[in-house]
Amino acid sequence: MTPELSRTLNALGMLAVSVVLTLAYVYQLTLYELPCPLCLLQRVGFVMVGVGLGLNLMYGARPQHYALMLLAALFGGSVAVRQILLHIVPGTGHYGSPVLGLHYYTWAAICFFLILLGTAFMLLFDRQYADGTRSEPRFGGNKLAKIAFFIMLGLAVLNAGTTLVECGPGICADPPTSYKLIDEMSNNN
Amino acid sequence: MIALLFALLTVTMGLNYYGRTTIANTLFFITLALSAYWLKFHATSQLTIQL
Repeated sequence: MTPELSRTLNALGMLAVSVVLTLAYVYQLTLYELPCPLCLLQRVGFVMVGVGLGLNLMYGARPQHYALMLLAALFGGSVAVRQILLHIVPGTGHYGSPVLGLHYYTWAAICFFLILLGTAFMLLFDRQYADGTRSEPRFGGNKLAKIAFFIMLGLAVLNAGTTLVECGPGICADPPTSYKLIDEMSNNN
Repeated sequence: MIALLFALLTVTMGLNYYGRTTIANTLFFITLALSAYWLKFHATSQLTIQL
């Protein structure tokens, strides 16, 4: 696998993670389903994966960058599995509407598992690692890589903003019933 | 406080963009540790379990 192919595959991975985060927003806004604290932590896991992918896009693939992705996916997967376990016993309810028969946290667990699998697969190819003696521009001149990185950066900023609006500066309500910061502002007026 | 995690990750990505990868990696691990703390906090809270 050439460094350029590796960069393109990482960019596609970054776009796939961005689609997951965007879909979470679509469901949040169209169904008015506020993400619970564990749901938000799963989103944190996806953005963390984005940090590792971003490094691969900017500076070329390195085992260290893949290691960050593996750690992030392990964290995100742990959160998702914990949430599945909370609702696994019949009669213990669920959180949010099902999408294609599965709840968000189950989809998140599947996605993190796929990220782990994909990262392990990418680590199999030695020739993708860039030659450290050669200096190349950020993103290696790959436009797709640049676009994917900035989409993820934008989603990270957006998540910081909406989470602040939902939870305020303190601890997130569990379960959340309204956008806390908006409520506080309208109560003050 | 979860908003802070997203903010820290945004700064991490920004630092990586400007080539400050050592500080960015440190920040990444700080964020990971904080995230693990909030996972412990929320995953074992009585309200979450009752949900």
